[in-house]
Amino acid sequence: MTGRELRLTLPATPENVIVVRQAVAGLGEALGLSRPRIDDLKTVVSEACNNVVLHAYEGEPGPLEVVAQPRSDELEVQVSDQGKGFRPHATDADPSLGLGLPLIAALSDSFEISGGAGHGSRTTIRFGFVPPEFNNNGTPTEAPEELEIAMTPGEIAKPVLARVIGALAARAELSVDRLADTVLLGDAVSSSEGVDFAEGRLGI
Amino acid sequence: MLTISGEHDLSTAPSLRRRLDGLLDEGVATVLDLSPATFIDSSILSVILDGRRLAAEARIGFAVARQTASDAVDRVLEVTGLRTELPVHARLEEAIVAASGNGGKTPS
Repeated sequence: MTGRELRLTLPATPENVIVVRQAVAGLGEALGLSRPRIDDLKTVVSEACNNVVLHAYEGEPGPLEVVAQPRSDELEVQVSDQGKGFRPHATDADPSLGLGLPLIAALSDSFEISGGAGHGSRTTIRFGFVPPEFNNNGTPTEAPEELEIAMTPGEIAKPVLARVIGALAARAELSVDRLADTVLLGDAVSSSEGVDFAEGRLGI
Repeated sequence: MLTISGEHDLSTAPSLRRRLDGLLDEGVATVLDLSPATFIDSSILSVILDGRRLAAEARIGFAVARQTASDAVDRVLEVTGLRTELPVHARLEEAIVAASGNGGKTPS
């Protein structure tokens, strides 16, 4: 353990989420994070802990493990359990996965969930000391006008191009004849390595 | 009027849900005042959304107020879009008027 690392292992109960939240917020203070950034950190860590409390052990007791490790310009927080892992619950009235994961995604710089059925789960959150750009009005930065696909020439080109061209053709509701043309086009493009198109582009 | 203060999360969501459901069951137009709250998580947002749905189904007034705008509660309301969606009234008086106008008994 490094000098500034924080490790917590405690029963995965609703009452313990605030303990984790306050401990990590204290670490944030010690690292000099701004108040709004600490607020975000508290929300993100709470939501990750909620997922463990609500879904890991299905009502049985089990551990909630949290490791927070400061790095040069970010704080990495791992929230782990030894339970059943994330599972879809089609009839689950519990909303935490509905709003919880989007909140983690919106307020952290990056996050990932690892694990599998029967192996527990781990949510790893990377939290930059400087807030990520957050677009409050929800406007996309800039949508591309064309589809761009880049891949290494070779065996993957044919199946990828054939499926993409087929999907575009289907969306365009082409006639059967024109649809057949696109299939031929896909085959031709994908089987012709090194073919040059005008400015490297293929128009459909 | 239901006011929540301090930090609220998974551990307090059941009690908030019971109190909110109780008011709506009685047909009382309800204002939920989040002004003194310093933290809410997704489980509390869920209680609020369920309360709004129940109130709408029963045609009972329901409104949310938040007179301050400076901490984790506001950040969560902004990020989820709920400040606009609910909506969250910036003045308590506005929330009371909104709840009163939606039917049900007068907010207590």
